[in-house]
Amino acid sequence: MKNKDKQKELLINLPDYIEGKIKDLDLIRKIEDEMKTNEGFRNEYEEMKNSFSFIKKVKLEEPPEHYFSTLLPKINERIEATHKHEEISIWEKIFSYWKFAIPVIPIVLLIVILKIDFFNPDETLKKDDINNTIIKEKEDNVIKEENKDLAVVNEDTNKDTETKISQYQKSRTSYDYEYTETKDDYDFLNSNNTSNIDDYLEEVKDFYHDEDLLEEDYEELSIEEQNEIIIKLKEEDF
Amino acid sequence: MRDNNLNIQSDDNELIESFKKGNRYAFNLIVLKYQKKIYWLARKMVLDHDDADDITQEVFIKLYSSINKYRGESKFFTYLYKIAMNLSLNHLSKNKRNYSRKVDLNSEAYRISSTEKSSEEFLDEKERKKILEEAISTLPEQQRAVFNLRFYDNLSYDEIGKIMKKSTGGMKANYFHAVKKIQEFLKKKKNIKEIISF
Repeated sequence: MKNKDKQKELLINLPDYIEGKIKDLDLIRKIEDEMKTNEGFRNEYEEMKNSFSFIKKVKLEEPPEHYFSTLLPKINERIEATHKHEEISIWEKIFSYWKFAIPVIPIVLLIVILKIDFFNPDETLKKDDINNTIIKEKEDNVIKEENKDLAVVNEDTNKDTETKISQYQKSRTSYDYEYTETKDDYDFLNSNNTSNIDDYLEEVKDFYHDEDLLEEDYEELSIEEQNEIIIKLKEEDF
Repeated sequence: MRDNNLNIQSDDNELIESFKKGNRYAFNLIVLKYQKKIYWLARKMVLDHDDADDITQEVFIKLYSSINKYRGESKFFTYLYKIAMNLSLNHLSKNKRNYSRKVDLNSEAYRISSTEKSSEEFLDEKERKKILEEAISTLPEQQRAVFNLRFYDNLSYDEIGKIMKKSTGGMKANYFHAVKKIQEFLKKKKNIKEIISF
């Protein structure tokens, strides 16, 4: 076993021995001793020596003429081209991102603008206050206009009613109160004047803030008229 | 920027430092200094001029873009050879079928009529080259690399180990087996026995 290992070690060093690359004198001596004593080892040496001889004689085909003189310019050209390509690639990448960015940017800007409004509550409140004030003013104007109209209507109605009531009172002076009142009251109440009073009452119902005017007129009416009004109001669940 | 003190004989470290500072002239000098060695290293690996040309250019382009990675921990040529060897091995891996040629020993090209002509006359230089290329192409990639680096570039096993990132003892064994395989290939051609003995 030892001899085999020793032979194997010497065999591995044979190529270097043949080429004269071994500097270890002890190793050289061992190899030469082995060759003297071992025929197989010696044959191995001879064959390997012949192979090396053949290889050394062969020269690989030379590259084309002027190859080495043109190699450096070719290398520099490729380096320049690589740098240009990298620059273009960067721009290409940016451009490719823009394709997606163009539709997205307006949306992002919109969100940012909305967010700014959201995060500025004072301004929002001020805006709301202004809006509320405007709305309130509008409402007040409407109410004022409505009140104006109502006042006009009420004035007209009141005048009309007063006229009618006074006319009615004048017409009743010559008759017996109980009899003529009942019949005439009924007639009166069923006449056109009654509708005026009904209208007046309707108007009063809608514009309930005219309570003072309503009370005066009501007191000037007869008891029967008053009762009639009450009955009508009850019927209408007023 | 050009330093007139630099030339092709300048020390590698000096050239590299100058190049790192942006001296393009220093880079050009590095290319001129190592272009032949790198070319032949690639050529012996891939056995084809055009492929070797591509690899050689790639080596220096890669060096240009990655020079800052070289920190001087190993010799510069070791660093350069490492790049060249990696690119060559990658190239071989990609084109495996082209480089593991099966040689037909019965083909006309290998037949020699020893009775009519001497082996020397019959086998000219071109044919010798072809036979050797064929023999090397039968080697596994690592053995091929070790054989080329040891036999042609005369590098130590230690240096080969650094380039190949393997142990020194492993490189010695690889070299022995590579030589043995070439020897066996040549022996199989019974018609060229005379050439070997010549």
